[in-house]
Amino acid sequence: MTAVDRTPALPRLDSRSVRADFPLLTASDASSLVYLDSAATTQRPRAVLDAEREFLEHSNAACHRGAHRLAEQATAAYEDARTVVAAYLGGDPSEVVFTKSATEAINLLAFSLGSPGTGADSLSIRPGDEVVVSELEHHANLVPWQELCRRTDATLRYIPSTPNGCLDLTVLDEVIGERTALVSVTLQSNVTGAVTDTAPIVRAARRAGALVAVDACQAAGRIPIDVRALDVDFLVLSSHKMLGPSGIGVLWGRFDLLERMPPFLTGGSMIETVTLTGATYADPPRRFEPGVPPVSQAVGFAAAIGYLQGLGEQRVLDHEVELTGYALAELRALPGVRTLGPDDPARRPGIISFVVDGVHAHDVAQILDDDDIAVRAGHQCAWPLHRALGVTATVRASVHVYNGHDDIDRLVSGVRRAREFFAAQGFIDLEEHA
Amino acid sequence: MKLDDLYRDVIAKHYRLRSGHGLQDEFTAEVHKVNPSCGDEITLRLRHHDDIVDELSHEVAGCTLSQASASVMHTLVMEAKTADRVAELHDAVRDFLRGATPEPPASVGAMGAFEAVRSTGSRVRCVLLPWQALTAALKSVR
Repeated sequence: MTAVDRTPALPRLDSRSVRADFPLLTASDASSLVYLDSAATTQRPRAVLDAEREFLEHSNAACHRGAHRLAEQATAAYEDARTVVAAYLGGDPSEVVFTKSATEAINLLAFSLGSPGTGADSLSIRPGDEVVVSELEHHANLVPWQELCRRTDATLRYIPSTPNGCLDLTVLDEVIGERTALVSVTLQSNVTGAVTDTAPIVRAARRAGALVAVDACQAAGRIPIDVRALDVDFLVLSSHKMLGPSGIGVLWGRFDLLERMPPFLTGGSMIETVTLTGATYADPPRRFEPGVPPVSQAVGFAAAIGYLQGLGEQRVLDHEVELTGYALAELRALPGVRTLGPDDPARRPGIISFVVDGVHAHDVAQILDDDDIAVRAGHQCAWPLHRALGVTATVRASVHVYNGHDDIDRLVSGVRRAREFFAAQGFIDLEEHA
Repeated sequence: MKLDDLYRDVIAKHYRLRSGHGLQDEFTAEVHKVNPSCGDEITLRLRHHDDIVDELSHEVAGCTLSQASASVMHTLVMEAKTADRVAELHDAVRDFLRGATPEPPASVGAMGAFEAVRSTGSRVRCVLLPWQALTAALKSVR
C-alpha cells in the first residue's frame, strides 16, 4: 500500500457489546464459558440465525427449478448470497462456487484437475507433473493432493516449515520449477497462525507457468481478502469459520479457468442438455453445483459477511492482532509454557498454539474444560507440521470478535492451574518443568 | 465430573511408575497404533512362547491417561500370563470403559481407577489405545 489512508481511525472493537450479539455466548448456561475454539468453528451472531429463520419461514424452496413465487424468492436469495461472497472476495459472482465445505472445495479442484482432459486448453495434471503444497497444511489441503498425485502419477512436493512454523520461502526456487503444475498453500496456518506471504510464491509459480490455489479457511473473517490483489487462481473458504452456518463453503476460481474444468459431482442442475447417452454441462459456477443447493445456509453465510463488514474488516483484524499480542505475552510469562509460531502478532492474528512442559495437551485441555474454557488439543489436523516442529500435540486457543482480554486472563489462569494441578497430584515436578 | 475423580492417585502412581516402559530388544510381535483424533502413538512389543506371554514392553507418546493405562496394562498382563486370560482381560477392560458394566468389575483390577473417564468419549480412546495395541499384537501371533 502506498497511498496514505485518510479514513479516520475507528474506535476499537468492544468485545463485550459484540458478545451481546451471540446468543450462545450470552445464554444463562454460558455464564462461565470462555470460548477459544473459533479456529475450529465460530459461534453465530443473531443476525445470521435471524436471516436463516426469516428465509426458512417465508421464502424456503428449491432454487433454480420451479416457477412458483417461493422458488423465485429462493433463487434470488441464493444468487444474492453469491454476489455478497463475490464482493467480499473482490471477485465476480460467476467465479463463486458454493460447496458443502472448504474440504469439498479442495476435493472438487483436485478431482477436476485430475480428470483426463479434453482439448488443447485442458488444465489436467499429467504424469510427471508436480504439485506443490507446504508442510504447514491442514490435512484438507494435503490429502486430496496426495490422492490426485496417486491417480495421475504426478509428484507431490512441499515447501518446508521454518522452525517457528512459517513457510520457508528461501527454498521456493528449488521446489517450484518447470514441472510444477499447481501450488496449493495455506493463507494462514491453523496451528501457528502464520500468515503466508503469497507474493513470492505467486511470482515463482507464474515463472513456472503453474496455477496457484490458497486455503483461506483461517484467514477469512480475520484478515481482509482480495483475490485480485493476491493474484491467485483459486481460493477456498468455509462459512462456519467466519461466523456463518456450517454445511457451506466456497471455491472461488478465475472464470477463464473454471470454464476449462470438467465437473466433479454430476447430476441435476449442473447440466446444459442430457440424452440417454450423454450430457453437456452448464457454465460455471453451476457446472460445479449439482443437486438442490443449501439455500438457507447461503443466506446465513451472506448475513455473516454483512455482520463482519458492519463491524469493519480492519477493526476485526486490529482486534485479533491486539488480543493475540496480549495472549502471547501473558502465556510466555508463565513458566514451562512455550508458544509456537512467529513472535509478531500482526503476522499470526487470532491463533495461539502452545505446549506446557511436562503436561500433555489433552491434559491441559481437560483442566481448562473444568474451568469451562473451550480450546482445541491434539495435532489439529496438521500432523506433518507437528512432526516438523517436534511436538506430538499442542493446545490451541483461537480468538474471534467476541473474545476480550478477560477471556485471555481466564485462559492464562487455567494454564497456570493445569501445571499446579498435575504437580499437586504427583504427575509432574514443577522444578523439573520450569 | 470432578478432576480428582479423573486423575486419581492410582493413575498418578502408574504415570510415574511407567511399568513396561522402554522397548525390549527381544520380541515376537510388534505393533504401532495411533489415536487418529489426537496423534498419540504407542509402539508395543510382545515376547511369547506357545500360549504364554513372557514379556510386554511399550513406548507411549501420549497424555497422562494413555501412559498410565499402558503401565497398568503391563502389570495386569504380567499377572495374567496366558494369551487366553490376557484376551479376557482386554474384553473386560473394553466393556467396562464403554460403560457396559456399572461398577468396575474385579476382573479389570487397577484399570477400575479409570472409572470417571467413561463420561468423556474422547478420553476413553486415550485409555483404550494401549489395549488396542495389545489385542493387535496378540492377534498377529495367534
